[in-house]
Amino acid sequence: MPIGLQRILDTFFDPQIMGQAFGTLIVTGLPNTLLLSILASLIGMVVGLFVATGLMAPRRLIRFPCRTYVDILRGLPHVLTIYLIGQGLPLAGLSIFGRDTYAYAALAIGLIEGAYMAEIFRAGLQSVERGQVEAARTLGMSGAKTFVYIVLPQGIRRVLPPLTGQFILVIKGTSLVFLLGLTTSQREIFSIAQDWAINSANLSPLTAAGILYLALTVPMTYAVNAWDRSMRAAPGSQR
Amino acid sequence: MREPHVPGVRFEAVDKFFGAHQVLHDITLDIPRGLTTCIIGPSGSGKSTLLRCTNLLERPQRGKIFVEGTEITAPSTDLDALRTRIGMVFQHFNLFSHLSVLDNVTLALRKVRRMKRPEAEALALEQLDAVGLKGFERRRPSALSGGQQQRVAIARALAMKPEVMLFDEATSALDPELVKGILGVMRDLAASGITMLVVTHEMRFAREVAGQVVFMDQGRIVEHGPPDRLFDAPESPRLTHFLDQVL
Amino acid sequence: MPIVSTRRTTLAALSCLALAALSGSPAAAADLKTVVSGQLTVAYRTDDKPVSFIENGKPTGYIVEFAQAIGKELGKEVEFVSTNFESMVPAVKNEQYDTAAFGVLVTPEREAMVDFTTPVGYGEARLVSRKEAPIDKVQAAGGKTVAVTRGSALIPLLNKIAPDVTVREFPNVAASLNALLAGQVDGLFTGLATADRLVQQQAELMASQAVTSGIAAFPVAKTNPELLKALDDAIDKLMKDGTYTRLWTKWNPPSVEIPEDMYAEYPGMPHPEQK
Repeated sequence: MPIGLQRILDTFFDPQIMGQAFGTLIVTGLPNTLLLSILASLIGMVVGLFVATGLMAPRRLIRFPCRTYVDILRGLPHVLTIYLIGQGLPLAGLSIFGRDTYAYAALAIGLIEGAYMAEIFRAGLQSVERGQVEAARTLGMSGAKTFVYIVLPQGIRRVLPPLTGQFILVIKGTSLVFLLGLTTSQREIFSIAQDWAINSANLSPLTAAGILYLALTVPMTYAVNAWDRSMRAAPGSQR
Repeated sequence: MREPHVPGVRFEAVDKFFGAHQVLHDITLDIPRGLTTCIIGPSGSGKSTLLRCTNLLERPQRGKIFVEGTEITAPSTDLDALRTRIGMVFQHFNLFSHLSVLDNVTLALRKVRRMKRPEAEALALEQLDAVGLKGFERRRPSALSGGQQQRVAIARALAMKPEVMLFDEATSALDPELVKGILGVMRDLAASGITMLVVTHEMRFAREVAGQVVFMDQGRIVEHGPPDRLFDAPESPRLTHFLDQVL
Repeated sequence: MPIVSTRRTTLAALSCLALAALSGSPAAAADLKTVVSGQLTVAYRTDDKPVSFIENGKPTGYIVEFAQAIGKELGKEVEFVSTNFESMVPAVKNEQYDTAAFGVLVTPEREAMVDFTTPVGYGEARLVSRKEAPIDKVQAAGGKTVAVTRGSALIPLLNKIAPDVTVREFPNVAASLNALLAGQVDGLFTGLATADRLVQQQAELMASQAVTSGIAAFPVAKTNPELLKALDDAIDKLMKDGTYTRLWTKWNPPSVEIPEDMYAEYPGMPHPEQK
C-alpha cells in the first residue's frame, strides 16, 4: 500500500479506535446531540416565525428591529454569539437557567437559528398568493385564522427543502455547546470525538462522529424530500 | 322576516381611489334581492372593483354600502361576520392548494361556523353533490380540471349559506368547453332565488339569466336596467359601441 | 536579573548562539531531514500564554522562543504554524510538522504515536477559586464543579487527586474564567503560570497549592530518529548554557520557579540569578 494511503487510514480510519469511540458516541453523545438539536430547532422555529412576520409588517417600527436582529445574528460569528449569550447572561448576573449549560446553549443556538429561519419563513410566507388569503377572508376567516390555517401551512411547505438544510446546520451547530463548558456526561457527539482525538492523538474518533452525523442528516433529508413529494403529488392525480 | 322593499345590496355615492387614480365615480345602485344582477363593461371599467367593495375586500373612500339594509361601511361593522353572509367566487378559483376538496369546503364551516367535523362534512358532501362533484372529495385541487375547481369554489361559498353571491369573472379563466358547465351551475343557482352580483363577459348568460344588467365604463355606471332594454335598445353610444365589439 | 529582561538582551544572547552554531556548524545538522527542507516547521498554539501564544501578530512565549533557540542550534530557520490541540500530535506523526512548540504532556497513548524528546518542562497546576467560595486545596475539590481546558492531561490528574470532582471542560482559559467569575463553576484547574496570572489580574480570585502534573516534551515523528537525536542534543546544550533559565525568568512571574526535577534531569543547569 502506498505510504500516503496508509497514513490516511491510520489517522482517520483506525478501526480499533473508531470501534471504541462509537460506544460512548452513541450512548452519551447521540442523546445529547439530539436533545440540543431539538431544543434549539424549536426555539429557532418559534423565533423565526415571530421575526418573519415582523419582517413583513407594514410598520417600520416593527420591521426595523426584526431586520436588525436578523442582520446582526446572521452576520456575527456563531462562536461570539454563543459566548455573548451563554456566558454573557450569567456574567451579567442573569443566571436564568442556573448552571444548566444546555439551556443556555439551546437559547443561544436557537436565537441564531431563528435569524436564519426568519428569512426562510419570510420567503415562504410571502410566496403564498394573495388570492389564497382573499378566498379565506371572504369565507369570514379572521386575519389570524387565515394565517394559521392557510398562509402558514402553505408557506412552510414551500420552504421545506431550505428548512431541512437549516436543521442540518442546527445539528452540526450543536457541537458549539463545548464553548460553554461540558461535564463528561454532558458531552455531545463532537465533543466526545474531539476529546478522544486529543487523548489518542488520532483523528479517527472525529471520523466516527462524522459517520453518526451522516446517519442523522442523510435519512432526515430523504424523509423530508419524500414527504415533500407526497404532498406535491396530489392523491388521484392524473396531471 | 326581511322587509320586501329592502334591496339585497345598495351602493350610495361610492368613490374608490387607488392612490391618486379614481376607479369608481359616484356609484349609486340597488341590487334587487333574489335576482341576478350582471355587471358588464370593458376591462378596466371598475366592475371587479365594485364587486370587491361589496364584501369590503376593497374599502371605498367615500359613500355607503348596505347589505340587506345594514350599512357595512360603518366603522363598527364586524367584517368577518359580514363576509360569512356574502359568498364570493373568483376568476382563478383560489382553492386552498394544501387542502383536499372536502377540506376546502369544510374549513370555514369548522373554523368560522364552529361546526363539528362530521356535520361539516355531511353539509360539504351535499354541496359537492349539488355542483356535480360526487366522489372527488379526497382529491387535491391540483388534480382537478379548471371547471371542476370552479365547481368546488362555488360549493365552498354556498356551504356557508350566504345571502348574497358574488361572481368575479368566474368563467374567464376556463377552457371554452368548460364554460358552459359553470354557467349551468350559476343558472341553477340564480333560479333558486338567491341575490347574485355577477361580473361577466358572457352576454348570452346576462341576457337570459339577469334581472338587471349594469353597464360600466371608466369607473362610472353608464346604463342599467332590464337586459332586454340594454341589449336591444342601448341609449348611450358607449354601450352601443361596446355591444358591437363583444356580440 | 530584572523580571522584564529586555528583548534586546535575549536577542543578543540568541544571535551569539546563532553565530556559535554557524561557526561550529556540525555537518550532521546541515543535511538533517525535515518536513520542509532547510527549515524546522513547528506547530504552536495561539492561546496558551505565556507558554505558546501570539502577540502583535508573531508567535511568542517561552517554549516558542526555546524552539527558536533550538532552530539556531540546528542551523535551520524556524517556521511556526498555528494549530489546534487535537490535531497537533497526529500532524507531527504524519510529518506535517517537525515538532510542536507547546508543553505537550507525555502520555502512554501519545508515546504510541510519536517519540518525545527529553523533558522541556514539568507541568504544574493550581486550582483557582473565588475568595468568597474558596477551595484552598486541590484535594478539597471533591463534590465541586471545576473548569478545565478540554482534552488537557490535567483532567485525569484532577480526577485522581479529587475523585468526586465534576470536571467541566471548556475550550480555552478565557471561557473557563468567565464561568468561574459568573459562578457557573466553583473552581478552575490550570497550569501554574496561567493560574498565577489570573490571580494577579482578578482580585476576587485565589489559588491553591501547586501540584505536579507530568513531563512536557517535544513530539517527533517515529520515522525521524535523526531529528529526535539532534533535538535532544540541542536541548541538552541550551539547558546547560543558561538559555532555558533565561527564557523561563523572562516569561514567568518570580513566584513560578523552575521545577527541581528539571535541575535533576539536566545537571549543571544554572539557577536564575536572585534579586
